[in-house]
Amino acid sequence: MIGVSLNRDKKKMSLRSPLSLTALLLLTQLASQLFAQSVSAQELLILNQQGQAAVNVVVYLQPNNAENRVVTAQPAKAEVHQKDKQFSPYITVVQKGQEVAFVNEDDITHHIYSALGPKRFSFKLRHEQEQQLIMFETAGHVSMGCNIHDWMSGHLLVVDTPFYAITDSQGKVVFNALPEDDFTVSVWHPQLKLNDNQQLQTFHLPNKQPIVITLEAEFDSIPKQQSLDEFEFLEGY
Amino acid sequence: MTVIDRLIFRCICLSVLTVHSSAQSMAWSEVEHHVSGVVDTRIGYADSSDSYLSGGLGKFSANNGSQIALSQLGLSYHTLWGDAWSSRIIANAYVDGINNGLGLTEALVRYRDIPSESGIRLDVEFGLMYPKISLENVATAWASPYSLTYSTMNSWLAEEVRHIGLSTTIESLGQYRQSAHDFSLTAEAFMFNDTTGAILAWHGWTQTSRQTLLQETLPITTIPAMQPDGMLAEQAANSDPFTELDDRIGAHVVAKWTWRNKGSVQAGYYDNNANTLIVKQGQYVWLTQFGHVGAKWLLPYGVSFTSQYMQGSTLMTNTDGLPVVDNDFHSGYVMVSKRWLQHRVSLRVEDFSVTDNDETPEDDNNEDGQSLTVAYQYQLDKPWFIQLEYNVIDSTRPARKYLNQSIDLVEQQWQVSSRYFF
Repeated sequence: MIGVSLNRDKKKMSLRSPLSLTALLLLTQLASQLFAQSVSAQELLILNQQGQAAVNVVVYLQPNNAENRVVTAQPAKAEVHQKDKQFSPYITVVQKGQEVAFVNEDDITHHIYSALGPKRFSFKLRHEQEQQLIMFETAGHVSMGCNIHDWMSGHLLVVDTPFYAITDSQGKVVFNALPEDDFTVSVWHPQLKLNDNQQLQTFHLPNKQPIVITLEAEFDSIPKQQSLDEFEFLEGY
Repeated sequence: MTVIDRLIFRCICLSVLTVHSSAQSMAWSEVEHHVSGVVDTRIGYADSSDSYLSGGLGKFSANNGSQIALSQLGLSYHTLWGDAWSSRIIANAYVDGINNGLGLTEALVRYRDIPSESGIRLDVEFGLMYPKISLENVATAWASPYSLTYSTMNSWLAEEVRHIGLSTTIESLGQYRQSAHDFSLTAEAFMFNDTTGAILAWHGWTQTSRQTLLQETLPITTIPAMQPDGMLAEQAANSDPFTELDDRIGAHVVAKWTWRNKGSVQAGYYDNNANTLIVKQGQYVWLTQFGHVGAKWLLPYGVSFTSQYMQGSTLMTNTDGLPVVDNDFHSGYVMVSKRWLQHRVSLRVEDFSVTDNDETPEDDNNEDGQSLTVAYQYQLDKPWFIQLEYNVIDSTRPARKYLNQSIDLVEQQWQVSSRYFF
């Protein structure tokens, strides 16, 4: 999952001929776009302590200059599903001020609640495809559970930056367009055994080379989101 | 009634009133209704004697020989209203040609709100319910996902350890502490179980999936002491397991630790606090007390381990307080189960005993036995399971001599079942 791209301002030029002006503007725009793509795309590779790809961890970048946090593009739509009595995905990341849709895909009632974090909520999703929209105005980690199915466990990270992503199966994230700035790069996972479950490093980005970050701590085991009794027809005894 | 009894009784009354007013304040359309159930049809063959269900000493619910039975038609009607209140009524039906029946097995209302900001959750239930002991019976209508027959200790719960009561659980959820450890403490206060222990004394441990229906009474195996000149002549022919005779409240407490995704461990103590000086209409009051421990753990290679053990005593006296039946008992099982794809294999071994400490003639309650259960389950479709099961019980029970049976007996049972959950 990738956050949003930043549109860079185009440089203005003054020319005498209107025709040459148009042609030059087009050439300039093309060159600018090519230039922008080549220098602003940034790949980051996240490795665990053993040097293997760290999969499904959140990476978010906070630019030093506050103006660089402003982007024109809309953030990607965020949904947290309840499917087969599990939160899916297990981890979701959104930008502060974004709405998240909670969607019940099961044919049973779920009673979702937040256990930790800046936003406390609880609501029931009574039947299949019922949705609830929640706005998250404050950055922080929201840990979620279901009051009916105690083994369900999900996490939502609300970040105050448009630059966020979750690593793929190779441990990689790519930010397609970054303004040039010093960034605090945060790597976060609810089971990462560090303060606030995250590791922080500062880089000047974009960099032509991929940035490789090796985590300094291990992960706790990730909950399987299933009852100790592996059976589909449990009755809440 | 003691002061504590009166206090608990007031709590029960208050909870009923609260539920009633809560339900009235909500429109009917806002109440959710769910029905779930299980249909369990079996073909079996038992190498045993007459079943305990028909007043014999056979340890299975089937008589000697072959049998086709609707072994469980369980229906659970579940309603939810508001964020915290729910109710559940569970009815079961059995058609086995030995003791057909239809009736309620559980009926309760429940308050379970979301946890507080510190992760403390209150869970309160009131009604006809089981004490929170079994780690096997977790599926629809108290069925076991693992085996057709329950372990001997949980078969006893199904037969005569149920009550009308108030169960209060306080849980501390680790998720609020960024911890994988949950803790809970349950305190239960109950009535309407004053004869608990009678059936265990007089037919010993059984291995069954039969749950006594609310209106049922249980036939007692004929013993010489129940003859007109015997010390148990006043005992009725059937035991009524859900009767209240002494107006005293019993209690059960259980503490549980759960390590999410790894396992859980629990320990509890049960005391029905009965006054054994009372006998009404042939029903004696039995003082039954036991402790129990249990664990469920996920082992390597996806093997689940479940084990429970209980040990206690049951006492029945005459109206002068002299012991007539004074037994100690224990039962424990270890079960391992492995599920892969559509398959599940479960293996359960058990050990059980009853030790007769009284001097009552012609009423020997001693028993000592071991059991092995092997079960294979194939999931045809999400709700439909085919199950094959073999049980063998090797036990010594001197009371069999009253029925001209061998004191030492090996009983076996083979069953094929179609279980459909919905």
